Amino acid sequence: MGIRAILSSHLPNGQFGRHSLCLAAVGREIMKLDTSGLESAASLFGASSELFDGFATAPSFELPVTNDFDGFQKEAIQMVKPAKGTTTLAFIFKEGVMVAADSRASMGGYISSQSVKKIIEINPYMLGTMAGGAADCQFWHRNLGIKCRLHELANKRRISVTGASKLLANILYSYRGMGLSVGTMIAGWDETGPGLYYVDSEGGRLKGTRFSVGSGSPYAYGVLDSGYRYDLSIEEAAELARRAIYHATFRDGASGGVASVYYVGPNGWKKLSGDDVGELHYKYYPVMPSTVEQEMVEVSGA
Amino acid sequence: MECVFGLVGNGFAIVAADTSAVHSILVHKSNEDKIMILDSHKLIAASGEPGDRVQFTEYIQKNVALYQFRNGIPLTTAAAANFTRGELATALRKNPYFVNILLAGYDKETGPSLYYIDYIATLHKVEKGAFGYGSYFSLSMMDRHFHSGMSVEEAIDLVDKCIMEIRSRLVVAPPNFLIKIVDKDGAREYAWRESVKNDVAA
Repeated sequence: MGIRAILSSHLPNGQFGRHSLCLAAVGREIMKLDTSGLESAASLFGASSELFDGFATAPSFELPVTNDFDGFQKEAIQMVKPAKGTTTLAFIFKEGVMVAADSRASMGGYISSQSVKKIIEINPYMLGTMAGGAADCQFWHRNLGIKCRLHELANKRRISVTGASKLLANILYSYRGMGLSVGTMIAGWDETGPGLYYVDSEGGRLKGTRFSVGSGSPYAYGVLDSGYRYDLSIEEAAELARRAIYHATFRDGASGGVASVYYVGPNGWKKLSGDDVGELHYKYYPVMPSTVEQEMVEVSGA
Repeated sequence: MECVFGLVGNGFAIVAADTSAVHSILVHKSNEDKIMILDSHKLIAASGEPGDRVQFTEYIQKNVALYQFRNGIPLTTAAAANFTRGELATALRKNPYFVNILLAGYDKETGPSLYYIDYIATLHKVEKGAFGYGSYFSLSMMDRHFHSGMSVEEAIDLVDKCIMEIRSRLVVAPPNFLIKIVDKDGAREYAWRESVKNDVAA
């Protein structure tokens, strides 16, 4: 998963973010870059300012309040990009829920693994997807599985998808501002039929029919939205999910590896396929033999 | 980005809110209900950070219900507004909630009322109020066309005018709006104003 810049949360309405609240509490002096070495007239000032701290009157300009002078502007650009280096998607259709994800883990520009399981099996009828911090997602999904089982034992009935997602959302909300990075979808089948919720570490929880999470999500949304119909068959829906993941991995550097597709139906979840996206590329766009435009000819010795 | 506004009319109060759930440049959902029915005769329209919005309004809703269970009578709108402001104020210096709220209610004795509650725990009883970037357009529209004791038709007309203005002038205007009304018959959904249809309602 991409390294998350902790200090970069901003809110659109000009309200200050949770993290900048912490920064303001720590007193920071404004540092200055002394440019007197560049000025030939600087030596004239030295004598008259004996009474004051000589540095204060030297020509200088203020530096931004940050430890990383070279990179702080990059943080502003990173703010717009979805930070979680992955592509996951899920959608509800007539037959149930289709869940798909890539399998690449990246640490900045280094691909640390091409075979990460990003679809987590919470229990036999509920799946969770992983985006953000791998450890955070794995741990909290496992914890959610435990809580769901305890609910079953205490109430003699399975927990609903609504209930499970609310449990997770409340836990993540109580840790807000402490640096957890989780962008997950809870997909399952309960008494009311198929259920899909998006839950993230900022505390947001959304009920919906189509979601995609991660840095490749805008690309996946495009393919998913244009091909989606409620009355898809299971094979068509699986192909749509696979295609959307493939297109996201094609354009997004932080997504790749294997496109896994899972189906959640009335009898629980079932893994449908796991295809390497490189192979999918040549399946969708096979290499055509093309006419050669120019050929190199032997130049006769001169 | 989130537009919430409301006004008081003749024996009713009306609030409108956009229905987009947005995450940086992505619209996750465009039929999210941001106007919670607090109890039979109160509405809370909230905008702000998504986690805070849901958690805080649910907290207020459950506490208002608890008061009714304990005491057998519901809270007045003024009491609910002051309780909400108090909770925001207590949390402000430790663990602030980033939620802006318009609380609309109807009391048998005092009629309809609207309360403007800021994320820094400002409380004002108002006849019209608005939050978000949309407020730049809807506040002046309401100032110009509002008068005391408007009928439901006139008020809906004004709300529609504001929505039109927001849609045409705001650069990241939300496509869909939800309007809810509260009067002597209770708090209920009044209408949707959609320009982008969401297929299967979630």
